Amino acid sequence: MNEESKFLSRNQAAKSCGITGRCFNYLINQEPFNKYLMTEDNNNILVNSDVIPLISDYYGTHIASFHYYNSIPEYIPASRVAQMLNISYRELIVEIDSGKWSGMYVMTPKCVPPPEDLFDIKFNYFFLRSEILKGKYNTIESIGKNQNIISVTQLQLYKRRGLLPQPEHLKHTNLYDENEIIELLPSLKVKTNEEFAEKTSDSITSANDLLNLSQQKKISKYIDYRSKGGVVNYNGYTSKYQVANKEESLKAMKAKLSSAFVLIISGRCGIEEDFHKNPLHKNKTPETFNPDVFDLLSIRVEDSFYITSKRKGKTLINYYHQLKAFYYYLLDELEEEALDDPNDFRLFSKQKRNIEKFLNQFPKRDIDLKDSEINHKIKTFLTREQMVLVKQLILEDVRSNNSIKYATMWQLASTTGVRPQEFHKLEISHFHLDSDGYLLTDNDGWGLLSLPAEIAKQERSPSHPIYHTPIPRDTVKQLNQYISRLYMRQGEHIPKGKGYLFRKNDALPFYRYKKPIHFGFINRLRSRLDFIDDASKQDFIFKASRHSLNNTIMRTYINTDTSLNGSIKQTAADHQLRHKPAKSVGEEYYMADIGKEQYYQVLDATINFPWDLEELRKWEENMGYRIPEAINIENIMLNEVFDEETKELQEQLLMIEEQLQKLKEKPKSMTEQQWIASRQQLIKIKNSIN
Amino acid sequence: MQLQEQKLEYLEDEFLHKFPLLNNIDDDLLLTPKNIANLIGVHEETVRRWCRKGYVKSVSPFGRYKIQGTDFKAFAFQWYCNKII
Repeated sequence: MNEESKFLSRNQAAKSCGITGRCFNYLINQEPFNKYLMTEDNNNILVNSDVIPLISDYYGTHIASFHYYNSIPEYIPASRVAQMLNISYRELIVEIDSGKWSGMYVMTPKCVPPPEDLFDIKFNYFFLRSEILKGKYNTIESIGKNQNIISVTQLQLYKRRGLLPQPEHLKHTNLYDENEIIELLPSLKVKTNEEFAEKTSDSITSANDLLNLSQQKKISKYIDYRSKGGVVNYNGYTSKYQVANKEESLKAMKAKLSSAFVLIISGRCGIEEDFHKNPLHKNKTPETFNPDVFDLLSIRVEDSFYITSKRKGKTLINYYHQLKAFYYYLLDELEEEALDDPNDFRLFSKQKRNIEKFLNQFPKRDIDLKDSEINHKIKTFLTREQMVLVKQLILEDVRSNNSIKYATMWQLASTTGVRPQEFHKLEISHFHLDSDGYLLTDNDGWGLLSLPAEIAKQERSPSHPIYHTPIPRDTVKQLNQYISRLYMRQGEHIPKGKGYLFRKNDALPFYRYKKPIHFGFINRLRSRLDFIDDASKQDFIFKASRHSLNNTIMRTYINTDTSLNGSIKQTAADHQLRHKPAKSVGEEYYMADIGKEQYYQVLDATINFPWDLEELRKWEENMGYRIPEAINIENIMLNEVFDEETKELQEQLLMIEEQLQKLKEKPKSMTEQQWIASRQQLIKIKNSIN
Repeated sequence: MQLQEQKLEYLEDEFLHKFPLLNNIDDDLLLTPKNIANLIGVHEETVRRWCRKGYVKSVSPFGRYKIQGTDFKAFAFQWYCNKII
């Protein structure tokens, strides 16, 4: 020790150091500073002044590093890490000492006395954020922000419902295993979607469940027979050889038959109300309803009235066709069994007679209906400009949750003619794609769609085998924009170019709509369609896009090559709409199909228009489909706002024109000289106005 | 050729200046033989003969003869030229 050194009290020493007494007292008791302490006889503690610069230096260095690590977000203090891991601070320190976290933290010596119970801990620990959360644990908010595939709100909803799993040691914290959550998300979404669907649509008991066991069995047996491709052939009637779109058609068949029998049973039980269709009476079957009062083969003529009184028009025709096929199937089976025994056969004949009489009560074709019973709908055919306007209205719809999706649907249907009932099965892979998963185009910007027969109407309306279905340039752009959004939302782990094009949920590429898409956005659109009349507005449907497509192709007179306007245009329209072209024998067997060049020429002149109002105007003027506004006198007269003077002059000019027209031949009341003079005068006035 | 054309133009100006009545007839007028007869003082039948012989163009090959103002003026000019040249 230095001879010149002085001894100071701890308070004096702390003041000299420029730090608080509490911190100084803590530091002076630590090694190596404690050797500078001296205790006097009267228990007064003195400090050697030599230590002052040492402590001052030590404190300055370490408190600065403490503040540094505490302030930057890359480091998390150990106390918070302990909270996140749901362990105590001391437990964490034990883990640190055991080397579990080595390389993941920095430590600085403590300069401030810790609480009493942690007095033995001499360091502050700061964990590297990137190390501690390395792709593993993260908060709900961060997972939501990191991933495009789900919003934070949705994740919080899942959390509240207890659907998010949490590692055992993180229970009651806000930390989740990020990878686990991301892997689980698709199934979670499917689960919640299905739960919701069950809650809403299936809450009404299906008609089939209301029947008794034997009735259900008979219907199921028939449906099973049809699903296997069985044909009902009885009494001169033959059902279709193949049921198209089996999944949906058979379901509808079953529902229709069950519904008919429920109506009959209700009628026999004296229930007036159409209860199982009434959403206000969900699951409330009337007590008097008893399916046992009706046996499928004991049907009578009167039973038909229970149906015909509650349904009408084309619905009845539909009931008739379903019931006829079903009953003929039953009769066919029965006849075979009854053939051996005359008594059985007599009974069978009686049943057959009753069934025939029952079926005869239904209208069979449209001709059987009264005109008032047929629901006439007005078809709307839009011009190119109106099609673009509809797209704009869809995009502007504030109540829409996915405007781009709906606008893409509209544009795709308006240019390629995809049917509304085909949309839900359309896949991205049905388009010709490049390696990045976007639409492949040729030099002129045409894309291609190969719509397979399986998803087409009646499973028999695929794209052209060689030309496929061309997609115009602007629709390709729109599709690519929509697809890029899908790719962003579905996440990178799902391969591009796969999955359904129009999905129930953008992030779930392989989860499709169970039923054909319901175009709810068209309902909202109707009142805003100012360019069509009120009657057509009410009947405006999504299929107007397809109607307008055919109309546009057929009604456009192609100026550039007039030879295309005949049968070539007709065939091109049929190809684009995937219709079977109506051909005569000569055309069908002895004439070649139209060439690819001709097909594209027709489409280029009719539907390859820009989907922008201003550019569309120029395009139509250029193609000769619209009179340029500069010389369109009608437009000038109607649209432009003239000032009063010009209006007056215009009126005068019109009057003079009229008079000149009248005076083209001599009126009887005038002499030749008068006639010529009056004309001359009028011409002079006309010239002065002009 | 150019001289001939210039001469014709000059003649036309002179002709219209000399006969202001013909000058006042505008091109779109539809004249009957009677109108022409009254204007220039020939017989109606004369005008019909001009039409028949094709000296003056009429609007329709059948029905009543009707002559457009422009055709009548052309015929009169032709007549004037033949007389003085």
